[in-house]
Amino acid sequence: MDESTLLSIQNLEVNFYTQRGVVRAVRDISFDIKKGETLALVGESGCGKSVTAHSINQLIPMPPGKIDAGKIFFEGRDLLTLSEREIRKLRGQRISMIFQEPMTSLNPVFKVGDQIADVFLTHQNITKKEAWDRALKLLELVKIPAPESRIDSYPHQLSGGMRQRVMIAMALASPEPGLMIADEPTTALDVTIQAQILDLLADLKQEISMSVLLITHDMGVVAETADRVVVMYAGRKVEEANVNDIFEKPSHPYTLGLLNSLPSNEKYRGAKRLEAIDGTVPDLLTIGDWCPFENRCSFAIDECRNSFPEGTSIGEGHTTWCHRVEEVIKKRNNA
Amino acid sequence: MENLLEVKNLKTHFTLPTKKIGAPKPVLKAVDDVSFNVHRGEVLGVVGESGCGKSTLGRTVLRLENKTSGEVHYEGRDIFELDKAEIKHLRTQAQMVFQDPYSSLNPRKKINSLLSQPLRIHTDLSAAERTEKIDSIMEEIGLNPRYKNRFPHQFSGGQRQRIGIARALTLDPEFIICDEAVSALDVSVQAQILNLLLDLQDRHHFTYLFIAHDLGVVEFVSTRIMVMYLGKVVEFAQKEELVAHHAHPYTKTLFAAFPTTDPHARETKKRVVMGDVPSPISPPAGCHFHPRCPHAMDICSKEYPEMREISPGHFAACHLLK
Repeated sequence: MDESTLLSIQNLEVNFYTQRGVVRAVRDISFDIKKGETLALVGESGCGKSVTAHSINQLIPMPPGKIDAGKIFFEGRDLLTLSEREIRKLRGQRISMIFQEPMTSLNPVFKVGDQIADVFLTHQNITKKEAWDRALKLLELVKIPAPESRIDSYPHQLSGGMRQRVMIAMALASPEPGLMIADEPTTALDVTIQAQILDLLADLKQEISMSVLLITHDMGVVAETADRVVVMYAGRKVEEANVNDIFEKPSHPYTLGLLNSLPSNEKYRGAKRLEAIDGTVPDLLTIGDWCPFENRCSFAIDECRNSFPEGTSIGEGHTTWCHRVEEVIKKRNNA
Repeated sequence: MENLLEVKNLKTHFTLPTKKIGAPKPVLKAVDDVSFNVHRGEVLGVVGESGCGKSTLGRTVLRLENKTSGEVHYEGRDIFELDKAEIKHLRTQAQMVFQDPYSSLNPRKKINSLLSQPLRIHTDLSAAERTEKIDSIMEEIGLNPRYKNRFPHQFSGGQRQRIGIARALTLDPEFIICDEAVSALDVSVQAQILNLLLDLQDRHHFTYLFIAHDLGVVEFVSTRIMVMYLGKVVEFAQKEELVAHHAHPYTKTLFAAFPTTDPHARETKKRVVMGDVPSPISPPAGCHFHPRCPHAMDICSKEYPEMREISPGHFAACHLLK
């Protein structure tokens, strides 16, 4: 493995064994995150982006969930072979997480200062006073106004944006943050507050060399923050590229459809209709082994109903999984 | 242009409970002195962040919420002066589509019953005529009429929102308020529903009041756009005019904060936003936006600026704009 690679997911397969049958949530997902890089995992509800991310620090409920195949290397160690004790040590120290709704992730009966200090006290051998001082420094780092008084606040006394800042502070409460998994970190926030949080994350990445795995459904957030993008659909990876290529040279019919579904797309100035993707996502209980997008895809041919395609490399670090990639690119270039 | 709806100095205030005996009860001014007209056949977009009063405004103009003061005229008649029979008639003319199709459809009722209820209450159609009507509406909104004996939970989010729209269509209304009608949907489904709403408008000449927090969506569907902040309208103009020449600092902030889909833009992007949205219970004195405004002057903390017409049909309330 490359020196610069922090996390490497290889052929990950996650299934949920439910009463109604086996839900094939994640199928054959592989990607790497480099040190200092922001990788965005994009897709719509149910595409498996959160399950993939939660597999990293094994936060998926098992049972019914089960990681049936694959390897997850973090700094060269396969996380799936570690004991619960070893995983716990990594969580909060080297791999941290922030979620969509900070109010449900923060404990309502403790002051935010205590909650941040707790992370230090759990993982490091320091006094309460030192932990509290470090918590205060972190609140300054995440630009909470008047941190000396805010440190004594309870979560309900803070606004949504402030709470998300506290969550970010907790995620940074480590001498050596490695990977931050941000699961829809701004989805519940108003757009002016979202802009502040995205700015903060960008600033922090400059100050601390940390990698971010960003999970989002919002292509706007991707454009503003990501270095590289993995597009998922119904448990499969369908396209991977750097952020500019995803927006300028989308080469999978689903990525194209996703960008065309955005009403803010430049090409809709003065238009009366969007080019929507017809149909709905297939049921993951009954999904077959062929291309999952086949039933909604205008390019689909018989082959698409027979097998899931091999990846086609179409540029540096740009790969797409589509039988009809040449036709897709031709159509995109003519449009 | 003919006005379908005229709203004059509308205020909707809510008195909140207090725990202290004898203490004055706090008042939440959800809608505070708002005036506007909705032209027949247009899509008037209302955009703003949470707590700006956009949903309360939508509910008050349908008399689902009581006003505190002001007037709302629908086709020239004050809706707060109507008697019972007239209100019942208004309910057939003006409909609402809600954000969450999961909670706005009764889970214990089949689609057939959800759609026939308005017809049973408001029309004297026979059972056969009702069935015919429901079938034709389901076809129109893109659902197979075979599905009408299913329950809401048997549908996906997008299909449920189609049912919500079908229910609004049953009585052939002319005015539809869409309150965050596409916000809970995935983008590919959202695009389908936006197309559906615009197709329906083409066919039936509906007038929409389209309430949403997503600037991209509002910009796409609207003819005119109204921007709200803490209960007040801060800017109001034709869509093209507002997009090209937004003048109010809050509108500028909103446009700047909205993420673009051009990854190259992030280096050059100006960062403008400061601070949080204050509580609507005690909004800042003077112009409500002044604590966050980069151009705030002395007068901004003292006086609320009047709405001025800064160019034909383009209104804004800001002391900077004279």
